[in-house]
Amino acid sequence: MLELSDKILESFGLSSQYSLVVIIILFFVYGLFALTFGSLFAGITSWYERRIAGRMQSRIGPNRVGYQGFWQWLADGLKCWFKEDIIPKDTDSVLFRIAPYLVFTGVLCTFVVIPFAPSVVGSDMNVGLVYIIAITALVVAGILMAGWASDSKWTLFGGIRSTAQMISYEIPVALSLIVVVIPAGTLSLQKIIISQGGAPYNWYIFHNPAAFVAFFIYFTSALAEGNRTPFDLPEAESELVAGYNTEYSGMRFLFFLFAEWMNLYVIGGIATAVFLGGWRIPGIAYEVQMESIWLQFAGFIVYLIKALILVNVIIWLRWTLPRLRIDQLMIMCYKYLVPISILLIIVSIIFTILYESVPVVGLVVRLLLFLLGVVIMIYFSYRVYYNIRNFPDKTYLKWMI
Amino acid sequence: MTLEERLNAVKKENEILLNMGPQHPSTHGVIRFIVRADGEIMVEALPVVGYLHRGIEKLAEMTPYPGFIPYTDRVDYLAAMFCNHAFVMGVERLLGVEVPKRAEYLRMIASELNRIASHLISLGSMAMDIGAFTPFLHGIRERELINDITEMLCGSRLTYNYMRIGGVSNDINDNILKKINDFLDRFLPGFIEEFNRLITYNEILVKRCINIATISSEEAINFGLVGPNLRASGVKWDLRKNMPYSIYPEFKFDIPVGEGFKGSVGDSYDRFVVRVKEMEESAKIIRQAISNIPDGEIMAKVPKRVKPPVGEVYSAVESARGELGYHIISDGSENPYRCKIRTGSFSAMKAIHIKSQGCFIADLVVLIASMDIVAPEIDR
Amino acid sequence: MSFSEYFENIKDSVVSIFEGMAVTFSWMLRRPHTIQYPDRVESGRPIVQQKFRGILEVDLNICTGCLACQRTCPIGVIMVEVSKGTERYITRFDIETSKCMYCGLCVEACPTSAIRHTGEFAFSTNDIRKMVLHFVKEPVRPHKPVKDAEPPAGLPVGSIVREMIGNRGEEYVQYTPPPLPDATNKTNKESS
Repeated sequence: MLELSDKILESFGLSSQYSLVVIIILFFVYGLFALTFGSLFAGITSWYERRIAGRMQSRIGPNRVGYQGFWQWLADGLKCWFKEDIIPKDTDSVLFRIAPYLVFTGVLCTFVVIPFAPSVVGSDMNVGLVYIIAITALVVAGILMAGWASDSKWTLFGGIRSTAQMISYEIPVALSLIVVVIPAGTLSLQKIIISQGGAPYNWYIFHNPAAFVAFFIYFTSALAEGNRTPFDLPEAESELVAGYNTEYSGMRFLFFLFAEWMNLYVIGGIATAVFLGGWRIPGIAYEVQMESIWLQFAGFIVYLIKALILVNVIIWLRWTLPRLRIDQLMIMCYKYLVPISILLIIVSIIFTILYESVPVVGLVVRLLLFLLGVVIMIYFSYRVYYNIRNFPDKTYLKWMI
Repeated sequence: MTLEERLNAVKKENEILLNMGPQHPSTHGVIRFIVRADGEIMVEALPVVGYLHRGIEKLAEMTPYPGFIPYTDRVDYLAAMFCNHAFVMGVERLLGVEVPKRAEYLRMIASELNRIASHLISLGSMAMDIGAFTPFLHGIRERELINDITEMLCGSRLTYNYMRIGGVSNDINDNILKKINDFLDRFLPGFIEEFNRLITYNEILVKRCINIATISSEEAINFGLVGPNLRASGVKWDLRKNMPYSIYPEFKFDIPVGEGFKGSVGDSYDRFVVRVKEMEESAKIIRQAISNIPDGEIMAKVPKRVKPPVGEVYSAVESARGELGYHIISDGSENPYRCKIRTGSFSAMKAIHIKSQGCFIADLVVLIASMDIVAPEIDR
Repeated sequence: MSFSEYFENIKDSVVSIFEGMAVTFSWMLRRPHTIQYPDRVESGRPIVQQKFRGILEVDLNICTGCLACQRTCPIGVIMVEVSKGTERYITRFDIETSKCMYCGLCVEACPTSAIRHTGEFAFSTNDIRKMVLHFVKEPVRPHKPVKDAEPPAGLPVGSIVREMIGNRGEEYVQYTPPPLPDATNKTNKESS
């Protein structure tokens, strides 16, 4: 930020004592950008999720409002905006009203450290990862407030379950991210991306077997943090009638949903930044990318694509899997994820030391893991093809063949 | 326990009194549960029924016999053919009418198709209550094909009114037979295998359902459970084999019995898998039946105004939810004197009440869904 | 939990989730089953089958005035009035579409198939009294069935009721049955 502000002041011909003002203006601009990006993403994801859900369930999603139903999210948002704001009588007045905003803020603040492009990042803190884990604790407070203040036993259930779930799953999130911090040597997200390579086998997911498993552990724990199926017991539709946000209506309800969809991008964004190489383009070195503005823009698009693939996987998981019960959730966290991630940290340390001393081993292991990833993808496509081929009724393939 | 005692117990033991009210996304219909819970573990889930009472048994006393058949559809609208069949069978026994062979074949084909449709919905909604939304819609997609077949057969998709006293109302033709064949070709084994891979073998569903509300065989018989609930507890009792009616003795099929597929015998997962296997068996029966339907009449000679002699009869069929029986008392006039309907879901309510002790609240939903209750059957 | 159970849990979860995801992904690639009724239906695809039990209609050309449908209906939806006297006239034939349960018993009871189900199912008004369909616009002589002959075909199925449904029955809220023709006027034997 400081270099950017100096550059801007030079081009205007002012002295550098106004740098503070420029920095504050830049913060506002970036905040607006993050808010717009997040809200647009949340809205468009709602339409996209409904279409994908429809196609997986052998039906069409919303496709009437606009071309292929694209403005459906706008229609829903406007409708909710104009809805009557129903507040039950016996609720705690202050807590009920500020709970959605806390949840929204908690998720929005993580956008500050997400590195969208090589030089577009709100603030490249050198404790970036710790900041993310810390700021999502606001969400916990918000949900607990929503559950309690709604003056209903069912919402209290939802709120307490959600609190227990979210504070438990912060541990595996942190531990699995540390598995990558060890080879990278830094907690700042930009530097983690810089220290990876461009080509896929240089990403941290294929760096050592511990990081491979840590990717999946991070993914699962982040899903649980975001209250998504299969961990969406707090907002379980069929059991608690929408859990902690039962009594909310109109825009307050939408804030919760906004926060949930924005969180999808945060999960995808952090996973790509840490494990999948962020905005690195295969085959282009970091210095070359920093020079040219077109390559930076390409990096922005590459980052977006990678994060969107992960968002796709999250949506896909939601519509495939049933949900876990609360004690099974806790068992999974404390008996499976936490011990395994602690073990993974030790394994990662061992591998990093091994790579330092014998670099050839590093290259070999990386290539082997990359091949493993490719084999899994090929096997998956084979299973999909097998499913399509084995279903006796071929009329569903009419427009494909 | 009276309400007073319950409220006192709640205050004394520091329990919570929750209300899973009549409107709830996962009680199948309008049923109310008053739940006393100690944190997440339930002490008791008291069912309160009667929100869907329509007085069908009273209406029977004012409607002539042939005119009552559409009402019997509404006793259990997901398995309407069985309700029709049981009533019509009872009146035929009173009258002493012999149903022609072709009509019996048509009745059986329609009934087994309806069994598949009902099980698809029941399995789908059990999966949906546990959180997986997709298998429900896949089941509905298959059920649409069955609905198309019955629409070609009798004109309606849900409340069929297909059976008449002495036979059936519409005949089958080659078009419909071809459609049934196409449906069976894609259902067994293509759809069932895919369904199994999607949800039946899914570890999360298995872990949610095993060892929940295990009902042993003695308990099941004591509760008066019937149908797949009873068979999943290990008791090999099916009205089609043990008290045969219609032309079921001529067909070869198996009775799936729960054997603790992944947990213990008689838990919720057993009830799930037994229903999947029953769908396969129904498909096999239909395959055997389609290939040799005899020619003949579809309706026996029955007078326009049905006046059975004085007497009473109890006739039961094996419906998708168990034994569905009609106790018809006739006093010689055009309307029945009394028509009592015995349904499988009514007996399951008490089982839910007793078995809910010690489960999590999240397990109550699994228990209700695995018993496959529908509200119209409980309070007709 | 023993060691092998621990790893078996992990293995089972991963394998079953993998298979489940493959199934849903494969369905995403296939054509959806939906028929986008009413404006994007593929031509040639029937919306309802031929035997569908839709809204009832009666063709008064072939109705014999036997009142069998009125007797058979379990609910009492059909109301027929036939004038007595030297000449029988059907003066009123009302079907309450809102009460009808589309069971088809009246259609089976009719000897000439004058009352029949159509393929119509879309009918909505803002007043429930408008949902009563009055089929008699002026009094009609009932059809005299010839012994052992096929009953006449009558108007095409659905044509009579489609006009009424399209009309939304605006003028039928205040309904008075049409007056009987004069008993002296014997030459008038036109059917409607």
